[in-house]
Amino acid sequence: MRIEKKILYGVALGVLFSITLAFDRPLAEGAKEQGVWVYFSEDAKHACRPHGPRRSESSFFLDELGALYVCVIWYDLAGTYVEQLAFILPDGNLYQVLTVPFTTPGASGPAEVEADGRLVEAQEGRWVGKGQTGVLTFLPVAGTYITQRSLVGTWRVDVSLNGRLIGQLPLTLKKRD
Amino acid sequence: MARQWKGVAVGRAALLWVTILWLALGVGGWLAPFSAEAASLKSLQSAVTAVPSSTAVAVTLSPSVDATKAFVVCSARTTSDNSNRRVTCVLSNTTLTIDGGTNVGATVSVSWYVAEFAGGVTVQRGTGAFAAGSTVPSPLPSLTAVDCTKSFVVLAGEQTNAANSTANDEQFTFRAILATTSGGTTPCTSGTSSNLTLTRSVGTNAATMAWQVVTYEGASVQRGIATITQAATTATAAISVVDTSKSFVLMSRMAGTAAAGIEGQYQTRAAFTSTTQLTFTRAAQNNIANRTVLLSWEVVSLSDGSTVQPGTTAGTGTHTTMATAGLTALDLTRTVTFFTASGGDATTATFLNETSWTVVLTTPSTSTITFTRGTSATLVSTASWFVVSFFKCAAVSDASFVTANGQSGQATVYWPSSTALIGRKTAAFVSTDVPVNGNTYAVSDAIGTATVVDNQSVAASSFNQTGLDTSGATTYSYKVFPKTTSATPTPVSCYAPGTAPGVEVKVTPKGGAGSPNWSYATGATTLVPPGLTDGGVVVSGSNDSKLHGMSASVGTQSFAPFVTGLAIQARPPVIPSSLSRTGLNIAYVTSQDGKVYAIDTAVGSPSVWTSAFLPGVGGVLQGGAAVWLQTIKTLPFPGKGFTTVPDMVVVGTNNLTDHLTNKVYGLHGGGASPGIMGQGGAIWTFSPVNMDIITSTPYIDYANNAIWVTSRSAGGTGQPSVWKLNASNGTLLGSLNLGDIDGSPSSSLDGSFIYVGTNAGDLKAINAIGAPGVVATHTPASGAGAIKGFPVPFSFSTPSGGTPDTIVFSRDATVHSVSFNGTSFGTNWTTTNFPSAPVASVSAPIDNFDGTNVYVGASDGKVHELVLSTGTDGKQVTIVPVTTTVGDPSFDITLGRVYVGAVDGHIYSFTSPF
Repeated sequence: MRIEKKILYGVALGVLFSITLAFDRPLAEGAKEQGVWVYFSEDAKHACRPHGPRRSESSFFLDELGALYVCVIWYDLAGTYVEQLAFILPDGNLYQVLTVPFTTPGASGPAEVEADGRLVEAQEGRWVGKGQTGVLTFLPVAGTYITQRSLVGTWRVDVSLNGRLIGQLPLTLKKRD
Repeated sequence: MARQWKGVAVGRAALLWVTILWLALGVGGWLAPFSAEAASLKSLQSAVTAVPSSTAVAVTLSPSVDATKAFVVCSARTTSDNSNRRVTCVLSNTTLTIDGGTNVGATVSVSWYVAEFAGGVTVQRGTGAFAAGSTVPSPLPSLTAVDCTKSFVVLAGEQTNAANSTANDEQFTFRAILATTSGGTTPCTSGTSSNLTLTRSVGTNAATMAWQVVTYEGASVQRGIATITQAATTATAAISVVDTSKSFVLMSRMAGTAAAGIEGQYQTRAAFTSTTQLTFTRAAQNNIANRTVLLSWEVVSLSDGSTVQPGTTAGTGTHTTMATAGLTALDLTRTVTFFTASGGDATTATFLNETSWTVVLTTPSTSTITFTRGTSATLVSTASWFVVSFFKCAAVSDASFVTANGQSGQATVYWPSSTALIGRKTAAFVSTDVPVNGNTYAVSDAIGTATVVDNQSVAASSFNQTGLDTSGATTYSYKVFPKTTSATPTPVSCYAPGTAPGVEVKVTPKGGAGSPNWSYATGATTLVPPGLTDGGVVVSGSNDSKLHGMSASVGTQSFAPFVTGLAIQARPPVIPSSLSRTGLNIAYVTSQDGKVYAIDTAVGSPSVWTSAFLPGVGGVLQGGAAVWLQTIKTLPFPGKGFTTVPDMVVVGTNNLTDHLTNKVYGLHGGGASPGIMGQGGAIWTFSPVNMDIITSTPYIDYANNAIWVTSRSAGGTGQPSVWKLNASNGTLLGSLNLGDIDGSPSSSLDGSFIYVGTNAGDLKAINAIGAPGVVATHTPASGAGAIKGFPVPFSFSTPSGGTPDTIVFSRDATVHSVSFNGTSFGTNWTTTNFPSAPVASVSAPIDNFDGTNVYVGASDGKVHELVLSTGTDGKQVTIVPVTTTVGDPSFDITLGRVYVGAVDGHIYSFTSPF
């Protein structure tokens, strides 16, 4: 049965967005509510801490950014899933997609998942709270074409789960004057 | 050495659902359907809902449905024996309304299924309003003509506001016949009909019943009428042979005028008794006149992959439920139960509650069908049921890649070999531009606002289209939808969703002056300079995580993209077979997934070897690989067990989590003897514990048996950023603290000096021989930002006052040319306007190897051709359609072409000079 759920996801400064999500099937047996929070950080240590505080911003200076760490916290999932983060340039072109298969804490699941035409090892999602799974990944920035070509402006990050678009977030990369 | 880059790259490195069309130009005419769709279930919702009062219950459907492609199947149980405990179920797009009239009370529960189909099914519905005293509804049902051989009637309950009574049930039993004539009782068995005959035998009280006529592609329907005579409990009907694993029976009936509400006289069930016979059964008879049962039946046979499990269930003892377990495993997301029930005796009129059932299916531990009635009793009531699992498309994965080649007036789209539907638009696809599961499409059919340009019925991996607009004004978007087609008697196609990033590619097949020779669309931004094999194959990494290979002459795909785990942002060195110990044209690819891949460019996949994950946790490989070629100069690796020394691939890591733990690896390049590490394994590792991230490509210093590596230095000069390593064993020969360096080192062409550009924008000349030291520093008078790529040297002579070297490099938005005489730098020119105004950024430069021009990509969407002697931005080519940032170009000496990528994900080929 197709289920629609109200989702909350948040970005910097405690701004909350509510969007309606649609899943082709229940994401978890007995799930009460599906949700996702997305944190951006320049710091891997603080992006996905259990119970926070998690550092989250939506605007970054390129020269201070080794990598952009993205922690996606999924609610009420159980099993193995594939998260995708698509980074869209300010001009609308697709810069890069990060595909992250993950298994929720304590769940048994396949060690490898087919994604993007290859088998990818599923990382074990982090326990970050009751019913919450944190999935941490990063976009390299320092020394990449982002810095080489000053790809600054307001990007868009599309968050998908199992191929279904969950939501879109703005992300600003800046260069110091 | 640096001049051999072409090959060696050492350092440089309507909806067509039985559509009926009428000609509209005055000539008129009937056109046969030009495509048809098969039925494919889209969604199934089900629940058991209580009707708590006389107020209709509105069940919100989630998700909403297209009611023209959906039908509801309802069954009700009651705790009352009164005949008015009945409900209708009426479906709309958003709501299922269950209505029992004003007297239904809190005694009815309804089990319901709403089955919605993606296509191939159309449903007409309505309610028949029977006035008091009338045995036919008014108005008569209005029905658009349907194909009788593909259509069946699904009744959805009845209701009345009549007062409580147990003795008048016959007023609320109805027969529905898809008939040959209006109001007739001759079943339609061929052709079309718009006549749905609804009747009851007694019309004392007003009543309403709900009907649905379902037209189902892939169904074959037989229908007829039958009578259980007053002295009989059964009747039979002969049918053409059917497969009972694919067929189910629908039945409606009206009780005789003298039934007097006796359930045993009118509750009737229908079942197959053989593949050629139906049997209708009631529980009792007492041979009294007008206690016949008048039946209408339909046998629906499905040839679309749907399956049917028939059965009969009866309870024992005192019971409220009865069940049958052991059904073949059911997929509850596509399964609906149709059933009829009999029960009662010949005289009792209070068994409505004992003979009315709801049904549920449970799985997966065991597939069980369970019936529930409103009252616990010993009375036996028997249900004949058909568990129908409708065909539903299994998920089809999107293509793991879609690429495209564009040439003047033509496009070729590539995908992993499969059957597929190709859609095209001249705008970006939107979410509704998707094929519908179950539909069959022909070329030129619409999928949303896109048009089908190809529908591969056998596995294929490319599609070519010619005759396209060459003006540059039209960009064609192509989307590939892999499909599967079931092998049922009626093939049903199911399609990938087309939602994965990168499955839509765009081609602008512009021709004429200033146009590219060709373009090649990858799945994401690609700014990395392409490489070129001796075999005329351009190889390029992309942010889509893949290595792409294409013909240098026309840009058609040379091999299916090789898939790595993350973006490729460094030019892969491509070693010709004549120079490689592997004997292959081989590319060494560094990926942000932390691995190095050795790729035979004749075939792509699989890799010749793949290294281990090289950086530490949280690290990537950002820079490129450099290759020590034993055919150029033999390099020994003492103690490593080689009988024949291999080529060595050198890479540096980019550990993002600290500024200290990066490493440089010398890897076995493949071929030769495996040594103690095997191909792809580390011959040596340099791990100084004070090394910041490496985003550059090392430089192979054959003259000095050394490897030069640049790195960052934690933002200061407190740790080294230039490293000279012993090529044989990876030990440190010397280092320099020059501040952060992202760019790669290069060398004067005589090998006496190493050039590095810092992130502060300084160009350094370092003595290559002996302990490294800075000989000269050039701080540009203008421009800003780091020096990109690597400094490009030009002179083959030892830099001196008489024969100064010329070095060209780029910063953020400027291109610089300097001279170096062996002791100091001098400024030749700086280009800041392209050609008349600044741009936000420029790429690393490349020259055309004849000393005339330098090429850079810029953020104005152009490739600029600068005059080497003056820096004048003499000519440009513009990428069409307009894109923002153009990447680092490469140059093909043989064909005289510039290859360059862009943020639009395309690689372009332009003839040089412009």
